[in-house]
Amino acid sequence: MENGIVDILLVEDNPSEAKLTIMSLQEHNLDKKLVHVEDGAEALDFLFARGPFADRIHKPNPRVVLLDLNMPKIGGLEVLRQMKANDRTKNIPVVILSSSNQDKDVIEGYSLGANSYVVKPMEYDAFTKAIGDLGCYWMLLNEGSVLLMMAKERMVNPD
Amino acid sequence: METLSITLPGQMEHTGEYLEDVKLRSDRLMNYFLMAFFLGGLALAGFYDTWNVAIGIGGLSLIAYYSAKYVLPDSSLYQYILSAVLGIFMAQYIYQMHGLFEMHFVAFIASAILITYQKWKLQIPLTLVVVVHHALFGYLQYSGYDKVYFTQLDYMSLQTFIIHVLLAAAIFFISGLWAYNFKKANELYIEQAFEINKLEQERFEQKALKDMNETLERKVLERTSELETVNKELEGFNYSVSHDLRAPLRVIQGFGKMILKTAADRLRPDEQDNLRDMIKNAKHMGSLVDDLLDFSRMGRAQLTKNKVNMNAVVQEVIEEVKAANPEARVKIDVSEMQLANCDVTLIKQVWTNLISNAVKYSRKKEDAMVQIGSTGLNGSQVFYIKDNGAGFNMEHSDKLFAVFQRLHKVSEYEGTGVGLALVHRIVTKHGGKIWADAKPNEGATFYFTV
Repeated sequence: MENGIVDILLVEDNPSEAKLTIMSLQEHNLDKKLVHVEDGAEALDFLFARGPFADRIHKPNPRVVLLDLNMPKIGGLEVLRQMKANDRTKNIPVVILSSSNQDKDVIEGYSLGANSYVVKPMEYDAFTKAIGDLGCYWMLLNEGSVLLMMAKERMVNPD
Repeated sequence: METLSITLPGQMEHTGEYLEDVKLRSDRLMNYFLMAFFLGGLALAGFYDTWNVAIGIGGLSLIAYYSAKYVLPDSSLYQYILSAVLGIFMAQYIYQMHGLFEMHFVAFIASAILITYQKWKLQIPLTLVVVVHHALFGYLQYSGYDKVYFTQLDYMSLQTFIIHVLLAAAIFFISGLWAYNFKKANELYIEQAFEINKLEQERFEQKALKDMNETLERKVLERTSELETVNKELEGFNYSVSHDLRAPLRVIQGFGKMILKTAADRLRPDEQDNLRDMIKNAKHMGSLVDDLLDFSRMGRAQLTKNKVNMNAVVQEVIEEVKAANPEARVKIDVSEMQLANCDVTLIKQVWTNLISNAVKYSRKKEDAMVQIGSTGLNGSQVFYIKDNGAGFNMEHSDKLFAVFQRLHKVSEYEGTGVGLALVHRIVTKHGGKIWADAKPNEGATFYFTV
């Protein structure tokens, strides 16, 4: 992760679940440029390059955010709301990963602009497959926009 | 006029009570009047020395009256005797005063006194006594009998007698009329009083009813808000369950599988089996949580009823069930069903659970066969699904639709015991009924209406 390029930002407070998700991504070789933050506040600091992440101010955005919903302090939906309200982060694709299949959350997640809403399947195999598919889908789909972003960044900060 | 006929017995009772009261009051009054008449007789005795008559006739009259009253207290005979007795007192006074004309007025006093009973008929004995007395004594005096004192007038002829009697009769008639009118007026008054009382009672009851309704309404609002709170809490609970119970189970399963994959060569076969058991149980518990969530969500789901083509739904479900159980060799026979008015998503869940069950419990049979269709019962459509599988003992049928109740071992037939509870809940929510008929090892038939 030298030069600060991050493909996937995983926002997940449960370390076991995070480990499981990372292992699933690993199986699809998607874990190389991944950053894991443990709550909503940290996720927002990372995305807005604040506090401990202040040095990320000129670094490109992650290509996809995998966002858990139930987290202490700042929940997933609040992170999503703040991301979509900020010009810097509003175009980052967001995939909500949640244990919940409650209709309320699905509707709110989509209305806030989530690109996908995935209920983590109970079965490990299905879970691994779902995570892998998602990672691939968003990484490939957003290739273009990320390249564009990188080009923009280079124009602003020619090194 | 229905209300009148209902209240009439009450009114009669009320009038009856009133008349009883009139009788008692009048009787009390008569004690004084009779005493006064008797004493009057004694007072007059001095004029012509008629002590024997005053004590004898007066005493006999009192004895007649009080003995009748004492012997037959419930009969009104004593009142008629009273009427006659008052006439006799008149005759006694006339005799005592040797035909003093003014003594004839006593008859009018008697007639007026009797009005108090409010019975026109009480005028009759008095009238008879007066007529008989006048006729007899008048005739005897006229015929020249000595010691018969009827009048001191010298013109007492037949004509005068007739005028006397007619005038007396007119007065007695008027007194009777008054008595009659008094009674009628009082009855009317009582009826009205009773009616007013009833109206006030009704108004009071209506107010009480209104108050009660208001209290009830307030209570309903309170309960509704309580229920809403409880329901919200329950939703919160479900939410927590779905998040917090599922996550650890997924982690247990995930790491278990991971170890099985990466460390299989380092584990003994029995250790591998234990690990598989652990994974299987975590998986089972995951299904329980999911099913339970479905079950609880179904309870709160809103129904959207439409005309549903049951055959299309059943066909769709059969394909899904077959896809999920590719190894099961079960023949499924579906006959033509009518359209049903129900929620298509929920009814699909019903068919899914019922058809999965039928396949699950009959797949071990050689020639497993499931029949689906509908029949009419009392004009309503009954859907059925019949299999020739494991069946169950009807003794345990009360547990069939209860949550987490199973009639078979998990090792024989997998499941969480929520499926039929969910089916029951959906059918009940539709206002329908579900029941079953089964025999062990011969199969089961489920029937439902929506």
